[in-house]
Amino acid sequence: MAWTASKVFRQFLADIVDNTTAIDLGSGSFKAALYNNTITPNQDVTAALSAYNAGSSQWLTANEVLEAGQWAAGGVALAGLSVNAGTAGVVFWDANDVVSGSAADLTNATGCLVYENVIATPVANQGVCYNYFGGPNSVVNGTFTIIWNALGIWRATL
Amino acid sequence: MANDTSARRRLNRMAKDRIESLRAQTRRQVALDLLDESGEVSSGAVDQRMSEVWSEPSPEALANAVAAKAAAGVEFMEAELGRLRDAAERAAERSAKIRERLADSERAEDNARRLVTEAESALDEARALAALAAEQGDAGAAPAGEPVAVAADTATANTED
Repeated sequence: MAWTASKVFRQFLADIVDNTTAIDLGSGSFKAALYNNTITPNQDVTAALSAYNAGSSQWLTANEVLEAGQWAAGGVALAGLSVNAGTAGVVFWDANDVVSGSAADLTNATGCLVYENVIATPVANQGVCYNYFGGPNSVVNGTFTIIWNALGIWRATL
Repeated sequence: MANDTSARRRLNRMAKDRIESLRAQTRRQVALDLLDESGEVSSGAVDQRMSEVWSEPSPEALANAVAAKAAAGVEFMEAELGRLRDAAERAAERSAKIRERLADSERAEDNARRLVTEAESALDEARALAALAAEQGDAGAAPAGEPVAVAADTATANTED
């Protein structure tokens, strides 16, 4: 049971492409929730099991790394969303780096779930992707920042 | 018992000697008195005057009185000796208790010294561990107040050629 890589949920891409979901990556409402290393993310689960805090999924609050007022349960909202198709053969999705409060105490945050937190079809809080930090990270009474890779939060090479 | 009989005979002999001495002394004094009174003295006059003034004490009575006083003295001395023995025993008991308390105090002092030594060793060990922990730091956590920035890998979706 552990993180190993960053992945896009297969069902999310399928739902986006066939209009099962109205999720808008350019202007929707998304959050990044932190998780420890007790879970084993799987990109091939159903939409229901990709959702934040869905029953029987990996993304339960029991495994979430959080602190009220600093990096609350459910995660921190993404801002500065952008869908970039400016490079030949590539489409990627990006956002501003995500920052906690200035006095966060967070332990063993190993990765995050990026999910949409408004639209309820086909499921509420459907997962978009999950991103690995490379290992557990902790902060004591300080600021915790997710720096998205320069290649984007997720990237499709066509 | 044999000693008591022998002592008694000696006491009786001493009483008789003492009565003899007193009689002789009294007879001399009577003779001198008669000489002063009449200018002459004879043995008959002395005997007459002695019969008037001298009452022969009983050697046994005298001996008994002396023995009674001696017995009373012995009894007194024995009582005093008993009191002295009791006092000596009590002093010996107090001395033993004081020695016991001193031994307890010395043992308590040794224990206290040993505990201080153990506490100093534990303190040295704790200081060494604290220094070691400070050198190694806490893996995976930033010092209090320091920011942490994590780099998230991109989730990639690639098509096959």
